[in-house]
Amino acid sequence: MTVVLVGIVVVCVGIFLALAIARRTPSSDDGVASFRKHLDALSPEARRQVIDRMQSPQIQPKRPTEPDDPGVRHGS
Amino acid sequence: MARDLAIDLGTANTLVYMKGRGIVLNEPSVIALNRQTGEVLATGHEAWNMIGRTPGYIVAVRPLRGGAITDFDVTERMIRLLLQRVGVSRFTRPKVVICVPSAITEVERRAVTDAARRAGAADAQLIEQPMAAAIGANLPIDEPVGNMVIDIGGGTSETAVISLGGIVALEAVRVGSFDIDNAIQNYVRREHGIAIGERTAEEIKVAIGSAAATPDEVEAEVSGRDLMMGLPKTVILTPEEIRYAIDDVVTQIVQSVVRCLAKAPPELAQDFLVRGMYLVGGGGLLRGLADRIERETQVPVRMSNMPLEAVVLGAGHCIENYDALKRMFMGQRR
Repeated sequence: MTVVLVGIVVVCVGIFLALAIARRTPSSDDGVASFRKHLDALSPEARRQVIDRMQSPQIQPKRPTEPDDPGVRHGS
Repeated sequence: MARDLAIDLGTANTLVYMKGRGIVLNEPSVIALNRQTGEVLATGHEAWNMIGRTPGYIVAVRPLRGGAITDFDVTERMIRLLLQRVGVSRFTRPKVVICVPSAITEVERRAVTDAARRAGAADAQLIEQPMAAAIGANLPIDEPVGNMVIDIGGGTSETAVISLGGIVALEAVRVGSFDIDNAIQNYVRREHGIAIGERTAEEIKVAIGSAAATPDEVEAEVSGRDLMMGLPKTVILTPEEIRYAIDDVVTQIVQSVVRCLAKAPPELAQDFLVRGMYLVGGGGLLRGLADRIERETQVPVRMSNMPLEAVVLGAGHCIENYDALKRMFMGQRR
C-alpha cells in the first residue's frame, strides 16, 4: 500500500516538474508563432470585419446633431 | 454575459465600440452637474447644449483636457454613466480597452484605468491613440513598411511612424482643436472687443477657419458681447483674420509632424514619399491643414475615410482580437 502511495506521489511530482520546466523555458518557436499571430491579427483581412461593420448602414453611429449657433452666420 | 468594449475617451468626443456590434455610442465628452449637490444632470449632447448657457447652480464641464483627466471623480461618473447606457451593470463587468494619448504620464494612465475599473470594468487596458488610429484607418501596419499617421484631437496632436505592428517614432504635443477655438476667442476679444463663447468660436472655425488659403472662401457675421458697453454686438470676420488668429497653433502641429519625420529611420522615410501620411481626428478636418502639412514637409498627405471613428475602430479591432493583440496594450509589451 505504502509503495503504491509513494509511486503515485513520485509520478505526480514528476508530472508537476515536467510542466513547470515546460512553462519556464519557452522554445524559440513560441516567439515566432506569437509574433506571426500578432501580425496576422493586424492584417487588412483580419480588420475587414470591423471596418465593414462600420460601413453597414444599419449600425452607423448617431452623429451629433448640433443646433446652429445663433452667434455665427456665414456667407455674408 | 457582458460584451467587451473599446472606448475612445477623447477631450472632445467619447466613442464606444461594443464587441460584435460596432460603434454604439458617439457623444461629446461633457457632463452637466448640479454645483450644490454634485448630482449629474446630463451627459453627452444634452450637456454639450448647456455649455455657456447654464444658470448659476449648473455647471457643464469637460472632465478631460489635453487628453488627460482633470477631474477624476467627474470622469469616473461620466464613464460609469456611459457604461450603463451601453448595458453594463454590476453583474455584467466587461473587459475594456481605452484609447489614450501616447504622451500621458504613469499617474494619468493609472487615473484612467482606475476610473474605468471603479466604473464597472472587469479589466481596463490602454492603447495609444495613434496606434489605434492606424489600425482603424486600415493602414498596412502588419508589413515592414513605414506608415505614418497624424491624429489631431481636441486636446492633443500625435504623429506616429508604425511598422510591423509597432511604433517606430512618435511625436506628441498637447495642442489640438480646442486650442484653435481658444485662439479664435482671444483674437475676437483683442481685435474686435467682443466676448464670444467656446461654442461660437468652434462655429467660426467650422464655418470659415482654415490653415491655408482655399477657394470659395466666405466671411462670417459673428455676434457676441461688447466688452466696453456690455451690449450685444455683431462684427464681420474674414478667413484671413482667422488664419492669422490660429497660425501659432497650426504651426505647433505642423512642427510636431516635421519632428516626427526627422526621427524616422531612413529606410522607412522613403516609404512616406510613396505612401504618404494619413490624417485622422476631428482637428484634421480643418480646411487647408492637409495642404499646409504637405507643403511644409514635401510628403503627400491623405485624409482617412473615417477620420472621427478611426481611433475607436482600431481599439474595437483590439477588443475583437484581445488575446492575439495583447502586446499592443500599454505596459504589456515584451
